[in-house]
Amino acid sequence: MSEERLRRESRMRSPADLLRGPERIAARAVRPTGIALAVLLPVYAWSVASAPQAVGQGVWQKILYLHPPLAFDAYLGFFLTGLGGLLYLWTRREHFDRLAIASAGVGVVYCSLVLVTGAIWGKAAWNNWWAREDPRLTLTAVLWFVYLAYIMLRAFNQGGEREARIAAVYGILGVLLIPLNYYVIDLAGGRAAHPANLERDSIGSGLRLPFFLGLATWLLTFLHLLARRWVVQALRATAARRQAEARPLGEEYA
Amino acid sequence: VTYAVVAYTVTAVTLVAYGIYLAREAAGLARDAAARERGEETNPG
Repeated sequence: MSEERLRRESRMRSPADLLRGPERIAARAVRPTGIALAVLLPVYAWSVASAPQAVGQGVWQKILYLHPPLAFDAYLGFFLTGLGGLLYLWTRREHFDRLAIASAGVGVVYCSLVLVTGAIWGKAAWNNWWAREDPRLTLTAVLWFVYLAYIMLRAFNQGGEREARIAAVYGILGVLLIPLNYYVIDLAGGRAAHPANLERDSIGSGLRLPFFLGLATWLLTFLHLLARRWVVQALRATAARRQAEARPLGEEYA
Repeated sequence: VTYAVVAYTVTAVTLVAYGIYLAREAAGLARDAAARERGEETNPG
């Protein structure tokens, strides 16, 4: 085998060489976001460990630097599912549909972690794993189920344009739950167990750096995983297309 | 301390495991695609 052929084949193993357009950009974003994450993570860990403890609260208060950033990224994942669906309906470009699938997948993972870390925080702060009277907990669980159903819809069907159209509409409608989930604390008028939404200067000065580093770290992690998930979805589509092309004419009727 | 440690550990382990799964999946699919380019048999799974 010639050296040139060997080089060409080793290049072909790189996902970026198999993909085009925004999916190629996503494949190329995996490494730089991973490197940035490797730099940011120790800084974040140091800032969380050295942050002062809030008055009258235990060390469990440090979940503040984890739980809200995860929630914002779960919102982002579901928003991107709706946006991908909307762009797919508008342009009929399949990579937007694959972006919607990928962001729903990462969003559901993040939302699962929001529910788990929230339950742990609830147990520490309220001595209750799940405060049933809290509307945000219920709505977050509903949001999680809505997009879990989206993933199942995409996983257990054959694919195709009709499924993509239905899923796009479903994903867009699900986004309506996001502002409701965020503002439900204000709507509940003091009946919610959750504290009020974070506002400007509502975090003590010593807690701001770890909080903003938490926002940056978990957002970067989200983008890294989203790029990886989008690449996987694109590679699966490429493999399915090539298998369909390789199938002899008429085999589907056999 | 335990609650915070558990919350951070669960998050880190979950996201690292998910990242490893996605990396392995992408590598496998890219390898299959390269083998298909060479005209070799590939594992349909």
